[in-house]
Amino acid sequence: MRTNEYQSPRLIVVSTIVLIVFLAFTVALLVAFFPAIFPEDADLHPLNLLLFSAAFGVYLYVAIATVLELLAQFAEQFYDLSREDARHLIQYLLTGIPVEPPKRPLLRIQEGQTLPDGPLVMYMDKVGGPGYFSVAHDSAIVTGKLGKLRRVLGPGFYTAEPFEKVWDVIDLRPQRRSLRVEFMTTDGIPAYCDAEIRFQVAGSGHTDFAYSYEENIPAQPYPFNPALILKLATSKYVKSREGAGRVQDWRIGLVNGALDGLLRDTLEKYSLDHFFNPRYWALRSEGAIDKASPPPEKPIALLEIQAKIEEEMKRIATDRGIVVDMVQLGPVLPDEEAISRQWLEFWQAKAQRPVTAYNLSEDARRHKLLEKTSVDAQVELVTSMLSKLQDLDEQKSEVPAQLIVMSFMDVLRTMSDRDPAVQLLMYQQAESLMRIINAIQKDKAPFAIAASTPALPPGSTNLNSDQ
Amino acid sequence: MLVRFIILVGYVAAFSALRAYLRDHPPHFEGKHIYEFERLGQALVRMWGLLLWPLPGLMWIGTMPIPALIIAILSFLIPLDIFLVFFAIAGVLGLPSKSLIDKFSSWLPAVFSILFTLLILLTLVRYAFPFWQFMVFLAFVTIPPLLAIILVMWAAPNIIPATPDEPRRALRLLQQFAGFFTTFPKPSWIVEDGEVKTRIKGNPFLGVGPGWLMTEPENLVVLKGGTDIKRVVGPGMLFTEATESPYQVIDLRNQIRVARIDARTQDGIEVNLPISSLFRTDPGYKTINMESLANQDPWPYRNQRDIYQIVFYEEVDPTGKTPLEAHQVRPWDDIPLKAAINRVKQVIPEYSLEQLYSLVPGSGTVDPASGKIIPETGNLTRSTIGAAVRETVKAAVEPLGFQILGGGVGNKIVPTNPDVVKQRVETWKASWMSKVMDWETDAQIQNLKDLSRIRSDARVELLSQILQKTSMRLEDKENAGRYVAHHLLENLLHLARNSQVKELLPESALPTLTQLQELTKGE
Repeated sequence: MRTNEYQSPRLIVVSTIVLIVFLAFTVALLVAFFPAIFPEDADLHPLNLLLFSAAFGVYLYVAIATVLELLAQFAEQFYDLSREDARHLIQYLLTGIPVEPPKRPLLRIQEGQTLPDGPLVMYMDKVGGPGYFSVAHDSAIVTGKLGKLRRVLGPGFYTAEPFEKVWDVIDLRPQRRSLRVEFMTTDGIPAYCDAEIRFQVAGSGHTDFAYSYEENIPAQPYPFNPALILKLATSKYVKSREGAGRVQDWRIGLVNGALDGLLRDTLEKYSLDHFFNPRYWALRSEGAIDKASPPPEKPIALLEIQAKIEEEMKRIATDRGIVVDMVQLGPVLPDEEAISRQWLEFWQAKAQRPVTAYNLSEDARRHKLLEKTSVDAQVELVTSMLSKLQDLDEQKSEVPAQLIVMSFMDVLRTMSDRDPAVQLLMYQQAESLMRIINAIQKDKAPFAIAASTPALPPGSTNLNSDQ
Repeated sequence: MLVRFIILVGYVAAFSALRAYLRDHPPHFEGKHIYEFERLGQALVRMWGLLLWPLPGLMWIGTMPIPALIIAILSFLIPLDIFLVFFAIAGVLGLPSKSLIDKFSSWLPAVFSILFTLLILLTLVRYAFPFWQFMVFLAFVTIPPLLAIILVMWAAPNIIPATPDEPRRALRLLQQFAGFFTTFPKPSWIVEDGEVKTRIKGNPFLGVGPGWLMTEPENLVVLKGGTDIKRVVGPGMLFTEATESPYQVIDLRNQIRVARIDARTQDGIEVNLPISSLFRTDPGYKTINMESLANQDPWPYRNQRDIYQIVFYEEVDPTGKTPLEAHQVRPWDDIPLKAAINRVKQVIPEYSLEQLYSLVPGSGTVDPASGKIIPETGNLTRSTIGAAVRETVKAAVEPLGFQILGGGVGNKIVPTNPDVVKQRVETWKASWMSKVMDWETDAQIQNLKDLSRIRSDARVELLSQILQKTSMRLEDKENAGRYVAHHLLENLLHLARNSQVKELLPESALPTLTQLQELTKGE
């Protein structure tokens, strides 16, 4: 069996001593009883010596087995282990660990944690070594021994000293965490903001390489700086005396401690309208002056806050031995449902505006069309009258008034017969006029008109009622 | 020979059976006092019972001219002597007092046993036997027990952790080990996750110390005696003295404690707010770094006096506790938070609810346009309160041995009455409502304007005027026809002069109508 500096040679020494003792005893037995077994009258059969030698061997074995049993019994209770684990522990503590593969006991550390399939004596934080630590490329560990911190180990394969335990594991991989920061705005409204942060243990070299040649890729993708690992491991915060998650590690400290505090302290300086204010943008797009009091706040650009937070977080993280890659903020939203409802109502009102405007515009257009028709009718009336009266004008003599009236009525009749739309417009007026003339001439009705009265078009005004 | 073979086989069988029995019945401390000789008996049987049996020695009967009884007695006594000496060294019979008499008393069984063995050996002078054969017999009964003792003395310190510089390390570890098999063990404790866990239950008050204690790298332990506080130990491994047992564990790491409390503002609104305190025991001038790691320095703390003060500053506060718990002290790590709570409750009434949420007046740059503090430059009232609280807590607890790292008023200050938040939301909504109503009013006004414009239809107005004016002139009935014609033309002219109509008429329209009107004017 090969040995190295950690593997104890004591088993070989003890085995050798026991063997020597056994052989010495056997030789002494032979020498001492030689006269008694070989004479013809010997009363001791030679096989008795063999039996004594075997008995001595058994007795030695019993002694050794007894001691090992005592040690196992003690270790079982002292370390709170199973019988089998206690035996393994005794074996490894007394004889050292094997140097030939498979190298056992082995505690694997990867993905920022000790793997639960490791041997019990190693990972259960009860005993520790002797054994091996296999630290993956993504992790680093701080070990402790006999109540003191012992070593900081980066990725690699190590021999664990007796009673050397994993005290803490640091995940070297980039970390991303999401956080919801709840806060009160300056106007006393509960709000929240979701944030994301990406960070990593600081160290040199993790971004220094370039893949210019495939052969140049570094063996270790993540940085490892023992001093920073030690700093991170010893900077934890204890939140309570007991309970799960009572210890706040470097990641939680950065996210739930620094980022949460910084973000809240920043956001709480603003009112709700600073973060999300449709009213401001609505008024701004209209170029209008708001009559409401107080005037709407100009919403802050969240990207500006994000940049400031990121800068500050980078500074804080550097002091702690962490590199912050980025901080991203989500929108600030109110906790209160009433706020969202209000925003919705506002949005609805804003969206309704063009609909209302369109309806009104269509209404106006319809009336405008009617007005235009009216104008056209007037033009036609004047033009028709003009053509009738131009002949009278050419005579340059006095024109009988009755003739003018007759011409007017003739025009009206012509228009009425030609176009029902015109009839609608003109008929009423003509009727009124005829009534007047008839009233003048007292029962003389030279221009009788049809008695039927068409329905009034919508929007037209009854002249009788106006009078 | 056959008998000897049967004895050997019987011994092996007995060994297997007894080992199985002892394995299934490990030493168990019942919690009651066990007298010294009972301890000795338990330890003998449990540890060396398999080696004490004289069976192997009995095989030697008949090999030498020595009586079988003497061989049997020597086969039993010689291993017993060895084991009794071992127990005397291991302190299995150790008494609480360290007087010479007590020390001698603990050796008495071994002394008596050895004397008895010597007496037996002296009787052998009466017999003639081969000396070397007897010596081989002695080696047969002596070497295995001796080997067992040597193995135990070598192995025990290897399986029990102990710092190399511990005084009388090997002896103490041996005592710890042997004590376990007396069924009256020496206690052992380990601190895990900040709690003392008993690994081997013992009773330190019955005078069976020392015990064994190991802390985590970040813990200290205060040890108490029967009625007094003994010392502060750790971090690391140590042996406790007789009557010593752990009293309290102190975690040297950074601590954070958070609590929510209710307080009343200046304007009488009750608010619920979180407060936090970040602290640790004062580490003094030492820090943890690679150098301290290389030197194997323990986790730093300033001095034991700090720890002592912190532990015995703990208060009994029955508030909110059951009668059974009312006598219990508030733990040491609640002290800074308790100080902070008291201070916050004093400070909050100095502010109104509005102020609690706002920036401290005069704390930043004022925007000339709005007259308000530019948010980025101002300080939160909450932060100001936090700083004030922190200073008070520092002044109160740092002299005890704490180091205050931070703390203050956290997120979020919530009125306990939800109506207060609702009211604030309503206030906020008011400004929004005004705008929405403004829009609606604007739309209505516009609508009315449009309708009113349409109603002023020019044609209708014009015809109305025609009829009105015509009616007015009908009083002169002789010229009624002329008037009608004249005003008909007059109104046609009026129509033709309408800008909208005029654009659509020929240029001659107006002159013609004017001329006709002149013709109908008459006298």
